[in-house]
Amino acid sequence: MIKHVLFLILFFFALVLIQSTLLFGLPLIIIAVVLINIFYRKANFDNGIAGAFIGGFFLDIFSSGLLGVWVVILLVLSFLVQTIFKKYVRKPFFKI
Amino acid sequence: MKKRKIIFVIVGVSLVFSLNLFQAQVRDVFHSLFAPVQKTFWATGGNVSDLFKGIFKKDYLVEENKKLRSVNQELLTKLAELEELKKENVFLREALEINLAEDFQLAFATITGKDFFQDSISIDKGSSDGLEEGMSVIIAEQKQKILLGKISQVNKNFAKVTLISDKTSSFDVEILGKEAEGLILGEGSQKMRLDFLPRDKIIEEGDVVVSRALGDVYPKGLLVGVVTEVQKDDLKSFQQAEVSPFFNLRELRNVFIILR
Repeated sequence: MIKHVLFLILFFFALVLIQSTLLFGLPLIIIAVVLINIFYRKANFDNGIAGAFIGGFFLDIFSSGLLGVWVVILLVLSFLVQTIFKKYVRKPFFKI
Repeated sequence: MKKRKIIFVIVGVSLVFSLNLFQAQVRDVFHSLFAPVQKTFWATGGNVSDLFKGIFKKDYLVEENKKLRSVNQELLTKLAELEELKKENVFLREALEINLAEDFQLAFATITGKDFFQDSISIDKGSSDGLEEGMSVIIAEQKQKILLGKISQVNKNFAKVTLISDKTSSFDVEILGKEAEGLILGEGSQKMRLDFLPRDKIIEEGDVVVSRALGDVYPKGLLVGVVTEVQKDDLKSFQQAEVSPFFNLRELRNVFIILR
């Protein structure tokens, strides 16, 4: 679990640096949270929710608004993505 | 498992919201930690677009590869350092040439990053360097004083600068040589709209917009932008114009803050 969290912190740290300096037109963190929720969820640890939390926190730090707003937005987004995939997407959805 | 997840989320969100009690300190710590890396990233930012352009060009990559192999790593690092110093030198020299320091008392700062969702940037100077909210931020380019924005948030070691193109920005301006006055409204994404221009004034594309001292928002005579499109509607009592700012955010490294 700690390994996953550390990986997510480093991953989002890199993303936040890129988004705030090099590619500030792209919502990289939001895209990353959605992709993690779709492709990188583990059975024993919910990377999607942890990613939303860490990514949201970094977004909050580098935005001007209230701390926690982006955490909540990304958590809601994660729950939505997970619900949609649980209810409406057949597994495995990449069937050859 | 599900219960644990819900408890984790509730506790986590509550913790993050409770950080708002020490918002300034929390942001200050993170910005201080990230600033050195951000500065390097920002400085190399200009080269990234060129890299994307050339990424699919084989010749470009082969040439680039040859170059990279032939140059010693240590020399490159030194060269980069000298290049940065040279840029800073040119920037300060331009400021000297237009007697910027004679007109204003200035502080020099380096840009560390851009806000994700607003037209604002962060700089590496804060209240410990004498910065206060509301101070005007300018740059000196081609012997001109160009208005960038004003300080909207000051922390101990960093500050946020809201650009003139931000949606919350509005101030009085005049069109150079036309005796036409109006109000500049930020539209976001480095775009601005000039409103409340008298209908009898002839405004043309390419006209230069400068700041007015009215309202005490910005000092008088700073370059704001250039008119790119004039909109005249018979139903409206004023004419409007689209204005493009003089600065190109991607190319900026350093700024001046007008202390007094």
